[in-house]
Amino acid sequence: MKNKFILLFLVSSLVLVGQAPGYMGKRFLMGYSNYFFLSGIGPTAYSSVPNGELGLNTTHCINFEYTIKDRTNVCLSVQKSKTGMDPGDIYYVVYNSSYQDTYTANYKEKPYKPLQIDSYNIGLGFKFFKSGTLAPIGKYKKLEFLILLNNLTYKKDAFYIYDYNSQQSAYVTIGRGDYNFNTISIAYTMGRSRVLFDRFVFDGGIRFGFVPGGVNALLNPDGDVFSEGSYSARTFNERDFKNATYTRLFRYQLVNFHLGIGFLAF
Amino acid sequence: MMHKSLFRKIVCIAITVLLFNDGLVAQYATDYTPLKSSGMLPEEFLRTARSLSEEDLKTMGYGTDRIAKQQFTISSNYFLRDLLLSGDVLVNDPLTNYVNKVADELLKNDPELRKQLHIYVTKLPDVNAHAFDKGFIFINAGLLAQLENEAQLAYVIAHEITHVVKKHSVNQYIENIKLDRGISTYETGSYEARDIAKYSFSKDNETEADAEGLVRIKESGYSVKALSGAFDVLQYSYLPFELVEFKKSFFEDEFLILPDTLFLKKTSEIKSNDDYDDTKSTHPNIRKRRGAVEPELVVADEASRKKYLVSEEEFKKAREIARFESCRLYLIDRDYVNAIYAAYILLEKYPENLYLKKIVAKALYNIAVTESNSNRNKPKYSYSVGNNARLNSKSYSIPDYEKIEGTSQRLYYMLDNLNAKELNIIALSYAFKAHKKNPEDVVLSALTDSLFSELVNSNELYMGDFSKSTKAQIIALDTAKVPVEAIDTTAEESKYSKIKKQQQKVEITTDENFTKYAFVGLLQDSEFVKRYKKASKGLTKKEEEKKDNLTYKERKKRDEQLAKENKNKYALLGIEKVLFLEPFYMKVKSAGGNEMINYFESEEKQVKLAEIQKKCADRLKLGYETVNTKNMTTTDIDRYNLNSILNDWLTERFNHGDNVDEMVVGTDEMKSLIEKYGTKYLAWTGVYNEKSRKSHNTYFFILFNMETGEVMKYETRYTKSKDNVDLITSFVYNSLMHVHKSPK
Repeated sequence: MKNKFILLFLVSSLVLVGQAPGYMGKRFLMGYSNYFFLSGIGPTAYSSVPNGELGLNTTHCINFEYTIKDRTNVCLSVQKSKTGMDPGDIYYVVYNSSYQDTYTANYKEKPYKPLQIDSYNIGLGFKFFKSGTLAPIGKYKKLEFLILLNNLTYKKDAFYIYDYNSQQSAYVTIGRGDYNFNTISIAYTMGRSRVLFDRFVFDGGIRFGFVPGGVNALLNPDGDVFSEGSYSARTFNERDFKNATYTRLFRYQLVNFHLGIGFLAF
Repeated sequence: MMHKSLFRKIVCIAITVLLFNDGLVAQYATDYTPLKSSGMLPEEFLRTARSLSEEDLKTMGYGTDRIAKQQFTISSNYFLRDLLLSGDVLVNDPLTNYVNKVADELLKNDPELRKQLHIYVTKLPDVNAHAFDKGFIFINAGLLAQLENEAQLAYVIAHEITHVVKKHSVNQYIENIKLDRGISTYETGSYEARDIAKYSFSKDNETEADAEGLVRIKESGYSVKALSGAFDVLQYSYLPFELVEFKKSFFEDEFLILPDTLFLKKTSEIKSNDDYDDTKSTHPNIRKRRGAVEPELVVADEASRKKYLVSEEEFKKAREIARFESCRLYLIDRDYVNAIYAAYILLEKYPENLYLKKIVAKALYNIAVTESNSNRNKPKYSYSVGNNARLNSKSYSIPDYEKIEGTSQRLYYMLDNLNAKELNIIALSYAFKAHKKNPEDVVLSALTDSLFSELVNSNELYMGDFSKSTKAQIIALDTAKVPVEAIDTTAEESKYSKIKKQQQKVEITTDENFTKYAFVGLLQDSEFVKRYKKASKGLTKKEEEKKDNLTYKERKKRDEQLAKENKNKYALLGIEKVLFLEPFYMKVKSAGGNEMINYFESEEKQVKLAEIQKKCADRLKLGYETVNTKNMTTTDIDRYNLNSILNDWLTERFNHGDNVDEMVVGTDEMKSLIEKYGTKYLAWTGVYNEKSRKSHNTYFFILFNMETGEVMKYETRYTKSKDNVDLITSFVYNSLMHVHKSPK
């Protein structure tokens, strides 16, 4: 249904093409962009310590654009992003028949490797070029809706606790170690593009985005993937994962710079 | 013996003058062809401003004020190049050739200096001449039209040569900069004092040019005494080149009788003041100039000197050509009444000259249609080009006759007192009569048709509105029908008898409604009737336009609606081929309130823009023709002339603003051009780029229909960005796409 809607939308957009000039009559653009931001507020997928290591979070993006009006491009993009996450202190609760013990668990994979969040994003949006210019040249503002198909992986038995009953440290297993879940993001980009040699489009800008938490249930019709049972030791911990993941994704989408190169096909 | 010799001399001169005068009359008796350049293009026309400047900069050396000199050289060469390719400069034409002969005579003893000078006549109506330090001197056709003799022309050239030799332009430029900065030794006082000093410095240069010019004349064989009237030429330059009483019979015929009330009994006297305040003038006033020069007009060998060293015949021929040219140039400048008056003067001499009749017909036509338009209350559209509003609404009105001095005032007064209908009738009458005498002339024929159309559509005058019988015939008929009783002077006259008598008197003596009888003669002409019927076919009297009932809001809404319809109408034009004029490109840098043109880059970008146009047209498969002057060779004189015709046309079209009904003078010349290139569409593109803290671009594209003068497409784009090639390409492509694509 979703796909049908997108297709219908694209077809209706093309009808508007009418007299849009594009660049020298070329309206269709294929390109690659790289979105990047320093990993100051979270680890990258390759960080060797949970925090404070300088790195670069990147998203690879293949984008397709079509000029539908003098100053408007419709944009479809497929993106792959990869980042790391450190869940911080997690409460590990052990239920016994008469009591429950609560421990603090830390993720300690050796050598250190943060939890991996891999996302395939599908973006649909519009680029609105500045008054006076003609797409695809000049300053633009882009409003984009992204569907994020996320995969969270980690080594599930790499959580380390200190058992104060036995006075010993131990590794415990938390969660499945592999979760798929979807979410959406809304992004706003301010950029500028140029055409060189009448064929190549160079693009650069800054993107601001956010991941609205409230609508995620709609995108995960099988229920919250993190809730696996109503009464389990895992439930509480996995909610922590969930919150940490959303927060990480939110931050990941928050600010990005991008550089891209494209090719005016026809 | 002595007497006999003198007598022979006089007879010879008289015969020569008579022959010469007859020759001129014979030459221009029937027609005149506007001046065109011919032969090979001089090398200096083919060089870029950059190459001209680089050559100058190499030889400049490292003296004082080097930076200012460099700036001046670059800008001066840019404007020189601009002028050379503007189409206003004539090459190898009779006027330029003659002026150069005079310069040869003047500089016979200084061949080195002569070699450095390039002297041309420019197709401009102002009484003026100017020089560039690089050795270029330009004499306006308007000045040649006013001169009295060859010696005066030689003095004008000598004056300009002094400007060149003394490098007055660059000195003035440097001094102005110093005065602005307060470091000039010429004046160190207040800002106001330094500002006035700039004018004083210029005046000093002019005084020097007057004095040195006179020295040069004294060194030549030209009569010094002949210069005594030279300053009169300047003083009275605002008057036409001759003062001839304008006769009302000029527009009249047996039946079209203009009321005497339309003609001033006495025209205002010429009260030119030669002692005007010249504090803020670049030239000293005429009295000072005359006072400085005239006492020096004495030489011991005056008797052996001559007014004419080249020849009197050539001078008079050149002046006559300049006068013929002036008529056309006045028309281009939208100075219609002056054009009619100048043509009138020449028509006294050449009554059958077709060119002059066409000048009068075109000028009358344009006055008539602009007058009709001003009554039509039609919506106005505004077009602006670059930073200059050049194609906006420009209403025309006949200049205030009270400000006109001399004999031409009668014509101004007459035309100013005619309404749209009367002007239309007079213009039609004149054009049709000229057409009858020259039936093969397509311009007069087309003008006649347009005036019929104007008469019917704008002024709603149909054949029934005109009498086929003369006023006298009608009165005779009325008198026969209602005989006026013989008045017995002895008997007491009743009040009512007196009223009747007075009414009859009024009917006989009044001049009101003279237009009713204007076509009595023409309505006997079958062609006139046929054309009139054709113009009014299917049309009847329309209801009065309820223009005054519209409120401001309603009128604005209607105008917006019309503008929208107009925009939609011309969204896609489906044009196959376009003739491109050389594009406009100007890059300006603004800093501290000063604007500096980046001359080199402007020139290079202009070339680039022409390439972009070609590239976009090719991509769209739009037929592309151009009259680009950037890559001309010495044999490209035809292209040079073509550029001149197009520039004249464009200048005039811009002068008309949004009044598309006004006829562009060069339209008849454009017809051959349209045939040659196979398109009637002329495109002009341009970019104005200004860089202050940020870059701003104004791009424009205008497409004209050269047949009608109509603006088919007008587009401007303002962007706050650099003028990158891709940005400009996208604009040009978009404009051309709308020109070429057909509406579905």
